[in-house]
Amino acid sequence: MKTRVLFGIDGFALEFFWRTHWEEESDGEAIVDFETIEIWGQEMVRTPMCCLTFQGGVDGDFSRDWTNEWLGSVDLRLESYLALPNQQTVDYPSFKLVIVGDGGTGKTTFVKRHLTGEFEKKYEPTIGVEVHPLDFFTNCGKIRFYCWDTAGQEKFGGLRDGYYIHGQCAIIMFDVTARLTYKNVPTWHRDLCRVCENIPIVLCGNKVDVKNRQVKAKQVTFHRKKNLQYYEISAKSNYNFEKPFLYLARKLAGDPNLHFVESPALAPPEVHIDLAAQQLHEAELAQAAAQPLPDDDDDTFE
Amino acid sequence: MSSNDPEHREEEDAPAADDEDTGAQVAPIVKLEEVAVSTGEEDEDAILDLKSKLYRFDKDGNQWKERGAGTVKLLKHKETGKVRLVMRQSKTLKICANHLVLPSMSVQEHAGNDKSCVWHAADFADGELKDELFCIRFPSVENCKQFMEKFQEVAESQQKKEENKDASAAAGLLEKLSVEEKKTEEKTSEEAPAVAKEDKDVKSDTVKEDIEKKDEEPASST
Repeated sequence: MKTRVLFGIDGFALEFFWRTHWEEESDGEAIVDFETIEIWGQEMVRTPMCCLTFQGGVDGDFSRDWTNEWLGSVDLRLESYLALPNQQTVDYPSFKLVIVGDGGTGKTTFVKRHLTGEFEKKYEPTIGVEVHPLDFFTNCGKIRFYCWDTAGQEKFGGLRDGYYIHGQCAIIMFDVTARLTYKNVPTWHRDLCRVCENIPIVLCGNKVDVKNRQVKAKQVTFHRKKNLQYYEISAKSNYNFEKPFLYLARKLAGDPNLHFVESPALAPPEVHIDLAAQQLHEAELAQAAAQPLPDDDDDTFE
Repeated sequence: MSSNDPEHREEEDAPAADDEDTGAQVAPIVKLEEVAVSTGEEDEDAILDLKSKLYRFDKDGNQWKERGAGTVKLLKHKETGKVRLVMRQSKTLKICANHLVLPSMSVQEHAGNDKSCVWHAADFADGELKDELFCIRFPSVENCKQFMEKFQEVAESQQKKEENKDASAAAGLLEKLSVEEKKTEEKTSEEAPAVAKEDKDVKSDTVKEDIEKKDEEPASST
């Protein structure tokens, strides 16, 4: 993994820039402790320690104060950045799930759908990776997937397979309305398997709600060759949208009967709304009531 | 549930066996034991149960955003009689709304759509109270009407309950106040001569506290 870093800002925040070429220059190694890692202002993972191996023209003095200081062109190799194994942050089982596939196939929309319920139509390519915790309630208790929603577009690829390290399960996504995204599945699969051996993988053909499919279900055969599970899904209509997680949970726990159960609906605390607040809410409500719904025409209630 | 999904039922190229496992054999990495499951709704009766789609208003974007699709319920507590609205996403069964239906709430029509309606609530779906504007959409006008009527009916009945509660509480308070006044009068008249001018305020405060403490017992028995 070859990475170039512009480095500085109080030792906690890092901004990463990537390049494709790597010159072997002088070497130097250092282990740096970070409490928080931020990429472009977004906090990714809290980790007590992160091991960074620097290669390049840095004198090894890391005890100095980096505040507001920029070191251009510090090359570094990331050993285990953001990919620490056995990183238990909750008191119930959690798994690192890597989601890969071509740009625009709907990886981020799929994750967002599960996180908030919303369906985002607007396409904004993911840069590098975004990690989201996603909890499910099962008959065997609560479980969590740390969803590593990776960039599909090559130019925003970031660490690429560096994100796969210690992945415990994966989803490879393609778009059934764009043939090329299916053609690229073998490449995603190969790269994934180089880093993650013998992990459960689900292949997802997304956007099956669209009438004009380019990849028919019968034409999808890759999963049989490589022993993957396949689901046709639609992040828009929620068709099969829970299946990939259910399958992975069953495999990770070795329990084919594991299923989702109703999460406990805790008693909401008493609230007292004063008159001023109530009037404000009513005014806001009147304004909101004038806005149309995003999907008035849709008749699925799943 | 592809079988009852009209959009996909007729899909001629849908895979034959949806749940056919073509995946590789992998060793499990955790051992999970079956646990006791609680819905949190055990002490409640559903007085309404309808398929619907829920939206929350994104104030920054001035737009409605989907929150979930599934079943909305009005649940009445068997003992307290309190009613809350709980909605779960279908299939994952996660909670997308969970809040009490209060007399201060009113459900309103959604402009230009007679299958949907809107209201405000302090929602507890994520385990913390959040002010949300909700819109809910039903498959039919009738269901929407039914929901609105039930919601309004519940809100109003809670109002009555609250009024009763308020009335009795107010009566109790009045009683207590009158007793307090009387006692304060007595005390001040008794103690006033002995109290030095500079610490009079402090003393009278203490006296009041004493009285309140004394009053606690009789007040709670009313």
